[in-house]
Amino acid sequence: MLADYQPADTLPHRLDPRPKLLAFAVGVVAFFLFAHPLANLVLVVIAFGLCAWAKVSHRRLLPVVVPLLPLLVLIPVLSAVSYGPARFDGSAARVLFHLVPGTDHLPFTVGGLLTGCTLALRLLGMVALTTALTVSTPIDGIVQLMRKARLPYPLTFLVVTALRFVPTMHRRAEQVQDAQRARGARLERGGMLGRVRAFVPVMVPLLAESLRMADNLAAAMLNRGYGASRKVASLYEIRMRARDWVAVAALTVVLGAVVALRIRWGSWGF
Amino acid sequence: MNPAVTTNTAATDIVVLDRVSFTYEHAAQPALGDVTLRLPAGARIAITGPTGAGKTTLCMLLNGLIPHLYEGRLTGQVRVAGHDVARETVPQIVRDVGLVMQDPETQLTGRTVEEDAAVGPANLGCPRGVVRRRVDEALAMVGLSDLATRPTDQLSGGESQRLAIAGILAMEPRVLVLDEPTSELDPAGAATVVDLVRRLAREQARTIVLVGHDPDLIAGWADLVVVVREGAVAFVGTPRELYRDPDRVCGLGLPAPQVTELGWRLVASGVLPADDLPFTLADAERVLLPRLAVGSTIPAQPAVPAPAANTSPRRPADVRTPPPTTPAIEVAGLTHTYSPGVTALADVDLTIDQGEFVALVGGNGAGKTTFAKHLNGLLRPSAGSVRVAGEDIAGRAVGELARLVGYVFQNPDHQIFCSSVAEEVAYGLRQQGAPEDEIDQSVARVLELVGLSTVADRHPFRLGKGQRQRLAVASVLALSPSILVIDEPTTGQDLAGTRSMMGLIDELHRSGHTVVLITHDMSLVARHAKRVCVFVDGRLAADRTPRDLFAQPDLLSRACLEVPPITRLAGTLADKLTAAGRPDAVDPATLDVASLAASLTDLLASTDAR
Repeated sequence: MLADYQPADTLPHRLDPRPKLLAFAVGVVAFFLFAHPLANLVLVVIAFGLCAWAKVSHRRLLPVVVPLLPLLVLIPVLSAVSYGPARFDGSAARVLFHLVPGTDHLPFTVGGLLTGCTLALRLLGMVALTTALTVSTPIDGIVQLMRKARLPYPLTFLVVTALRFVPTMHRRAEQVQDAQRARGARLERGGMLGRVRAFVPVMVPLLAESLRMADNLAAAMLNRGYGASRKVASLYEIRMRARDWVAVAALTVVLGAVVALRIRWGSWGF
Repeated sequence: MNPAVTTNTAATDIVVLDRVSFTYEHAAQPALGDVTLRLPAGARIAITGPTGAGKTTLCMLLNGLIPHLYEGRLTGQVRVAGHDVARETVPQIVRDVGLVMQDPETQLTGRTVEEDAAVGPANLGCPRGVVRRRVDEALAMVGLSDLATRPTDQLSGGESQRLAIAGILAMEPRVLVLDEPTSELDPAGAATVVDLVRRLAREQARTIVLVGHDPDLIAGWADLVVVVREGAVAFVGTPRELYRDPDRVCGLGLPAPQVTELGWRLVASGVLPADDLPFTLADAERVLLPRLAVGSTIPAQPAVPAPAANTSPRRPADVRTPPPTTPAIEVAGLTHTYSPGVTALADVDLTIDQGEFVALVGGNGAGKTTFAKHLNGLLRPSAGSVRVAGEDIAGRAVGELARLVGYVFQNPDHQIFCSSVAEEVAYGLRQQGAPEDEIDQSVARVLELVGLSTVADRHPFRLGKGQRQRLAVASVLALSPSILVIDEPTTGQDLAGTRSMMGLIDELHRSGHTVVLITHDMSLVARHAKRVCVFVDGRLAADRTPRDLFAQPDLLSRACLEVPPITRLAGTLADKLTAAGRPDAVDPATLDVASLAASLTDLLASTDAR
């Protein structure tokens, strides 16, 4: 997820990571301030608008959204039958039907359905916001952000190192698969059970390899003076420019407006 | 032991080991036993010895990884650059003692080249300006300034290892320890690292300790050689003192420079005084040229492509009588494109007959591995066809092709996962659904063949590296393929390991297997292959006998290949002799020490007689 950065020349790409993180936070707050699915639908549209602005391609977005679809249907259904009508007032308490026909079991309520829709839309919106953020922010930016936020150096180091080894482990996994297939393994042979069984000859060497690498890495870190000093300089520093301050100001206004709306009209609950 | 070196005054010794023993936790035997060693400051020191002798343990002792990270029982005194290693912490010691390890991949922690080089000085608490300066200097020193912003996962092996060295140099240590920095690299990458080590030694005043097996590097570079054997120091002295005595070198199980081996033979047959024994190529030229009466009086001639006119254009396939059977491998018009615009192989035609021993050579990314992976279907052609034993393999699964073409990968640990050696060998056959009795028979036969019968019930991870490599070969042989593709089988192995592995491959070839060997090592090609295919930039640039290939230095340099020193010497001598009006006196494409020694013995004897 974090390694999804896609270079492009858009405003979201050019912004400092800090205003972007603020935008993300404002988005999250907005989603939780309003309970009605219609308000959340508007927010989802805005979130996908941000994705479009950051030039997130379909190839990036579809693999993230498509697996969510069953969940997006299941959440409203489950939610509709899991809240009793007593939880709601007025029209929201209406029971459309019972899931077990002819009985009082599992009433399908309007309020439950709406709550479920809100939850599903929030999920979809979060995914869109996260994608817009990660696609437009290189890992270096995120790491700089962690440093600026004065997160402990070991934590930052952990994230950098983990990210650094993602492509390495990917390559190793391919090498192991090639080696096993070349001596007669049939990894692609079908069936759920077959797949699981085929997992072992790939995972065992890979695990052994990663343990060996972890051991080496510990030695390499010590060789590079890890732990010699508490103050660790970084080669580059992110800097807030005029447009970043403008963005911060704009986002503050948006946050204020959202909160005002909420106070003026309530959470649009039902 | 050389008393002149070991009893130096303590003031100039930067490494002092006094009766040091170390036993790893849970180990029965000490890894180092009663080692006393003094290394002078500012010297270039080579540490060599067979695999498992304790060289790495010694390196890790120098910067405190032992006993602080790898725990165990340490006795005796270790002082390095003024630090008492047992008492001080690793972060204190690494300010003065830098260690570069074997595997470049796990030593890099930064995302880009410059960020990685910055890790060390930043950890030491240097301010940003100082970090910047040190990074720039270190990258310039290792020749990576142009790649400063490249992600580290896009570097070749040689570049990665040079970056690992830069990362340590940026910490400005007084002692730089390099533990087999080339053992995990292909020889092309290794050559760039060796170049760097030679340059560092000249330009810097620091002490360099280099662990390695390459006798030519040791002879030409080191001021002092330390031979470690079975956890003890078996020899300390200059390279000349070490290589002077053939019995000592053989007794220690070490390889010697090829020119020195030649010298031993010439000395033994009485045509060269023992004092003139050569240790480097330059030595050999200096002592041999005047004796052949073609010394500096004759101006150097441009290298003539030797007797190329009458031998090289012929392909070995034309020389042999037509084979009675179908060829093992027929590749026609093979092209492979990884992604649009990146052509890894372009229009390769190659036919390999049954029972041949063919070497595929070429620099990094020249296409030899890409080519080989088409032979068992791991890669599929973008264009062209691959036929194995007369049949087109398009559409046949890799697992199925494993019965025709066995592919042995470089790193055996990428495939070992069973709990016993026998199970490991049986795995492929089980996957193919072979009956139990056939599996048992095959496993027994194959283990016998590779010499692992006695360890059939052992856990594979308890075997040594050489034995694990044999196990990898065995697990491929279990499916009885008649063609074997073997990828770089000797990388990072010592003399004994290399000999044992190549002995096995020769034996498999004699028993009727067609062998396709991927290698960068020209001395292996010279000694074992009957035919060599040179890949340059994804094309098959040459296909001939090793002899014919070595007569073409221009082609070899275009393919980034290194000629064995003995062949280079033969080439120079032949050029000079030809210029002096004596062509045919020395074969310019000599592949082995014995035959050059024989012709030189005759020549020198006759020159003396005159």
